[in-house]
Amino acid sequence: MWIDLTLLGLLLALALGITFSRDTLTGSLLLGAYSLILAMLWVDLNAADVALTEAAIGAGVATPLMLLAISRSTRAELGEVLMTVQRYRRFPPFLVLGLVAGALVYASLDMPPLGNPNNPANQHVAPYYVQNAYHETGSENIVTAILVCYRGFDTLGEVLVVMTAGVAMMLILRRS
Amino acid sequence: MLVFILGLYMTIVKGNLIKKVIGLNLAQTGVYTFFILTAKVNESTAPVYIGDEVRYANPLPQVLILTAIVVGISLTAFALGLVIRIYQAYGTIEESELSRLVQANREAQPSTLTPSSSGGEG
Amino acid sequence: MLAEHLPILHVLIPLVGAIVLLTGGVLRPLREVAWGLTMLVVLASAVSAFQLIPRVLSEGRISYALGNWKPPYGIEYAVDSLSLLLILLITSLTVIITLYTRHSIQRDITPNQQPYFYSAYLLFVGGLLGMVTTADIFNLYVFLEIASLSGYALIAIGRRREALLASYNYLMIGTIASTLFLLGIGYLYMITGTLNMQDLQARLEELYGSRTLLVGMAFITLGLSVKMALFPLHTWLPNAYTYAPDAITALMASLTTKVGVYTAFRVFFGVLKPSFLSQVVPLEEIFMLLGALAILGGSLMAIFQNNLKRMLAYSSVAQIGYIVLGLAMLNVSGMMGGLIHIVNHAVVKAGLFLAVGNIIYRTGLEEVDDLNQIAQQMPKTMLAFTVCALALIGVPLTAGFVTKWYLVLGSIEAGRWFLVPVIVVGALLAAVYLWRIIERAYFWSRKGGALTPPAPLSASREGGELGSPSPFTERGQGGEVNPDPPSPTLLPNSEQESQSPPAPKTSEVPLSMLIPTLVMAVLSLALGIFAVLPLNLAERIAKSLLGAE
Repeated sequence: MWIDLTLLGLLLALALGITFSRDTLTGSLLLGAYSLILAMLWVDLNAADVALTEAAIGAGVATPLMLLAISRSTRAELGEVLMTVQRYRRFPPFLVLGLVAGALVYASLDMPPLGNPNNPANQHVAPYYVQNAYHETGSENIVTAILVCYRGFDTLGEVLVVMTAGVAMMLILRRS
Repeated sequence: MLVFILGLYMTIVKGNLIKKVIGLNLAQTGVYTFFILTAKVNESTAPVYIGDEVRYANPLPQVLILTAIVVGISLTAFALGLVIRIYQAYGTIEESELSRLVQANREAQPSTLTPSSSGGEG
Repeated sequence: MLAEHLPILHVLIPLVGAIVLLTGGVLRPLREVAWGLTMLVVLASAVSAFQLIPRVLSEGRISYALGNWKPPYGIEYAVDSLSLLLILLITSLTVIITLYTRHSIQRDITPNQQPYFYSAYLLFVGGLLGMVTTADIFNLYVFLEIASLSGYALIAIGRRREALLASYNYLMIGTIASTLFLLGIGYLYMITGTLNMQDLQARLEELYGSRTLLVGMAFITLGLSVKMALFPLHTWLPNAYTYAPDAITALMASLTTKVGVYTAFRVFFGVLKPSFLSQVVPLEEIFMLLGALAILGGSLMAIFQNNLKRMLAYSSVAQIGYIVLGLAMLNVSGMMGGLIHIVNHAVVKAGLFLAVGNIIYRTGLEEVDDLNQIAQQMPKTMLAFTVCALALIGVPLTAGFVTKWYLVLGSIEAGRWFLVPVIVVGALLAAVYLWRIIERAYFWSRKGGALTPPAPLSASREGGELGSPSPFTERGQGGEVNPDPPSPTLLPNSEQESQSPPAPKTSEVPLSMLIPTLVMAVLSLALGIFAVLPLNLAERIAKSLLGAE
């Protein structure tokens, strides 16, 4: 339990640090750290596969990408010095954020209890996977089994998104 | 736990374009964590098959998030690519300066098209 | 053997085509045929889509389990009459617009980029098709992202640097929207344990009081409203449409927002039941109000625009209002109006954007004020523009009239008389902003045009380059003074240019651009005169959507 709490505290601190960091470089480095801590938290929540992915992609791919972008643009940041014109424009964002926050809290009031095996999320489809994945697909890792078999088309779509990003980069960066 | 998504949304208000991308990333991780939490089952083990009698965490949300993470990184990558291009084209990545530039452009020559976007780099 | 995979073929064909084209980016010979290959691909996709018609009409909903995993566990694809309508619309419009891209896109990208462009183009189309065909809500999210991401890229390649900003802003807003959508999916999953839409529908019914469901639906609705550019959330649209390449604007204007609308209503009628709206939240009231606001607000904004594409973009915002309004009426006539307007507006607006694209291609003029006498120079284009404009306004015998007729019927049926003037005023406003163009194009003398300050038009570069002695040539050469990066891309184009006739007056665009424009014009007439066919389909859909009650 205390592991969870420590990690959570770290995450919160990092998130705040990212939000209020002074320049982009600090921000992206902190984001990398944040991803790693997040991955640890997920391991603790029994989501090892996702944690690996987050560590590899969130910390391992996103951070270098950010650094690349910073090195090819600029590190300096104006910060929070917004013009007078923009001051009134800052009101709606906070209003929207408040609304979203309210909605989140409101919804969480009658959510199924955390971690209960009898939650609907854990009841309907999931047990089928747990019981049959190994026998039907031969994969010991149930996550893998779902990923490439039951929901293989999602994964194809995911690969296509990556491909789209590649194509998009070729389109916008390689114009000469 | 959901406090996250909140802290994260704040970042969207930032003026710097790269910062916005970072904020977006944070917001997404908030959503991911929510999914992972729905997958939590007390006293369970990671969904790797070791026999029928063991209780496992719910594998499905984990699968979804695996997919979502990859989708998210693709978006991040493209957004950063755009930032680089914007910097090449405008010389700044601050929203306030950008909107001032666009505004100035429009006022100077009401119906003029600025020279194409590919100005700036080779 | 292929027949049993029919419900998925039209999605897979563009996606596979995109992969082939991407490899083509590396192989030189493939670069030359990128367009031809794309054309083949979209044709094949359209053919497979049309083969779905008889099956859907006779069997109703066709379900397809991907990889043969049973639906609630695996991903299901399904074609019913509603998705069939969208599939047919997307595939056939894509064929027409692909023809158009051939010449028009050469101003925006270099030959080297062509395979990448067409790859992104096909991914975009494939993403949209996936969105309308899938019956799995998470799969919907994945395809939404494919379509969005390629959409951002396609906007970003626009000629001007503003395109980058437009794309970036769209990306930010769009990604926040899809993140909200994903969160909403999470909420629904949390309380049901399933992602399959039919399954969700069955399991959600007993949960209608749940706050989690309420907030989840709110997030999904919010996310999708951004995607369909519903009135207060339309802010990304005008810039994106204005700065995207012309062909892409036509494609997006006719399809993206429609697919957004489709998805929203698929969620409302396929995941929830109409009874949710009556029992829990009167969401249709909100949508009706927003639709009405969109009609008025969008049309008013359109009137004050001087940039052609921006004006049409605001007009799109207004037209989305009509669609949403019709679908929110929740009665057969209103929904028929909304459904047919999905088709009609797609055709009409594509026609308008293509015609504007023609004008920009040939003269570089993007402002309404500069269009004096353009009809003499490009009579066919302007004819098409006029026909489509009339159809958008809703003159009898055109597509728009049918829509408005049913919308008016629907609002009377629903007992909401205040909507009738909104619909009529919207049409009148449309008449105002479109008539400005037609009037200038046909009736204003060029002398009157000279009175307006001659704007330095760097975009009218090709006016001089193609050597058409149009009245605009002089200005075009003026714009040539500052070196324009895209000009080199035009060179191959003017070589291919077989028909730039040195005739004094008319100088139309290449046939590959003219034909699609005219086809759209003919279609917008045909949809008005032979309205029976789409009407039957729409009635079927409307009844089946409402009949679920």
